[in-house]
Amino acid sequence: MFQGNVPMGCFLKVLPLNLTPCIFNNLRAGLTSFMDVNLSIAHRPLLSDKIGVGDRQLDFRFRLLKEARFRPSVVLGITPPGSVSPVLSHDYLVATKNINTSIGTFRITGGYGTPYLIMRRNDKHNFWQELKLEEKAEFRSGNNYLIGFFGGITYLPVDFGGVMIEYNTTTINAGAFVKLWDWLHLQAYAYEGKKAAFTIAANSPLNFKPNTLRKHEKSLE
Amino acid sequence: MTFFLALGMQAQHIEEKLYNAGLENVQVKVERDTIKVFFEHREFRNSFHSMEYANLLLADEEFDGKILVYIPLYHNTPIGSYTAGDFDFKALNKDDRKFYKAENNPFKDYRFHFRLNPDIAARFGYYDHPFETKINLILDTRIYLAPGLSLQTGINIPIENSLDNQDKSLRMAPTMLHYFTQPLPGHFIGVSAGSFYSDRYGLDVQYRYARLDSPWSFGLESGITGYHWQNAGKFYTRDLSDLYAIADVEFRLPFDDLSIRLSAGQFLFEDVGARADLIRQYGVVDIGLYGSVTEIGSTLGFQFAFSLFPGNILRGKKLELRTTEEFRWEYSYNNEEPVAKKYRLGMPRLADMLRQYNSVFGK
Repeated sequence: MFQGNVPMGCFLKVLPLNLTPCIFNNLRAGLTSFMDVNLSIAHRPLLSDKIGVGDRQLDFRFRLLKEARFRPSVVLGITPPGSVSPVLSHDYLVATKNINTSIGTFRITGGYGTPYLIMRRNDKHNFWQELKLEEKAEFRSGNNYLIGFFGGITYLPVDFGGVMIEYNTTTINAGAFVKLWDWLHLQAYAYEGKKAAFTIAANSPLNFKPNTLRKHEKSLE
Repeated sequence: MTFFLALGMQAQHIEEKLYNAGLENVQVKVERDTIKVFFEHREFRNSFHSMEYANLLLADEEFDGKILVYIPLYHNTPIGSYTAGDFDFKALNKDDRKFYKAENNPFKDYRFHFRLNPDIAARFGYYDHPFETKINLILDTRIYLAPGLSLQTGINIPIENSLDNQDKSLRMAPTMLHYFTQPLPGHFIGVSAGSFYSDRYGLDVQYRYARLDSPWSFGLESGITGYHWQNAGKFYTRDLSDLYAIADVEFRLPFDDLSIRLSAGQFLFEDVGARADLIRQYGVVDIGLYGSVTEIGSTLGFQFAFSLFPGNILRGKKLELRTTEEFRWEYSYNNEEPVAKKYRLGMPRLADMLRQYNSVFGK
């Protein structure tokens, strides 16, 4: 979540177009120059009378390596252990490399998601005693999303948009995205050509100045 | 004679210029090689934004080679002196204190502020009522009564309530007397008595040792409070018997405007334990993560604080309508058990406020 040295905040909404939609709302912020914090709320409108606003989750992304000429960037994603119902939990290591060519930029991504997670039993009163190791696939009854190796290629013929294809360990998906403005990105996905989803993302630098000061600076220009 | 007259006129000119732009209690002290500008600015949360704003407002002033120094005030009390430009910090000297004492006019040099301040409580996750909220709009003010002494009061306009059984009649907003002082350089004391947020009333005393050019600071927060409730136009209070007392140490990391704070003691509801905070300051926004372990349980959570848009709404010579300089929200993973709970006063606590004045933050 950093553009150069500017800490960014992002609001992301995923709107799937299928019969049992699960709307993801994400708030993400660059808390340090090497760590992002992400809060997601998964809302299932059709089940809202059963499960409420849905599952909330806090997770972290650590930038271990910055991209260099011959080196990919490496990011570690961690969901802190301790949730009673960690259905969205994922822990992964992912590398990304941009390759600039005369016909545009190719972004190659590859990573690995761990098959285990630490979850919380709800029966003990001491936080640390409640923790236990669990196999993700088993807990999620066969859903193998981000367990094992995953990867993708994004092609950006222009700097304001591109197309992508990815394998997320369960399905092969294709998508296209466009940056309408610096702060607003739109994305459309197809999951194995069967389901579709739209993503809208609003980005803002977090180190902005107060309104009055910005207005005054503008008046001096 | 004409020289002193010119200086006097310039001082008055600076005072007027800054006052008209929203700064208050502007006092200009002209010394042999410095010009010191005392001011209070309630619209911005971050004092360095206020000084940056003052820099721009005074950009075309001639200072005859004198160095411009700002002395920001908070709740009518000077914090320290910062050189314009590099924001180099110096503690206040005796002469500055004496000058301010003579010039400070808590009645005359302030506007009457109306502040809009939403008060939001929410509970998530119950299957039958997944999203319970209570939204009030608070319109409040702070009136300075004597040096460092102020009264905060207002009205609370209920907008929505699906959280509890409080009715929707107009209520009195948290109302308290507050005294803030810096008796010795780096030693800050804040005392509040009245009704607070989080349905508490009572007495709250805070002490903080914070040299604002040092990464370390230490504090004590304590209070004796009771439960307080208003419903159907009636006040209801329980005994003033809940003792809150915690000590903390805070260290500012040398990168990314991050601070680490460790607090331990007896939290609200006689809950003994400790809490660790990681706080990032972005300027207008702070985002923090925390974890706490107490007798009641353990939890993780996050908080954020920011100035509400747009800030100033209306400003006249003597009146101002604005949005709050600090809206704060805390979310804890276990949002039922009150682990390491504090009550909110209705103004930033000393640690959160003084962090905004650390000279490293301005650089």
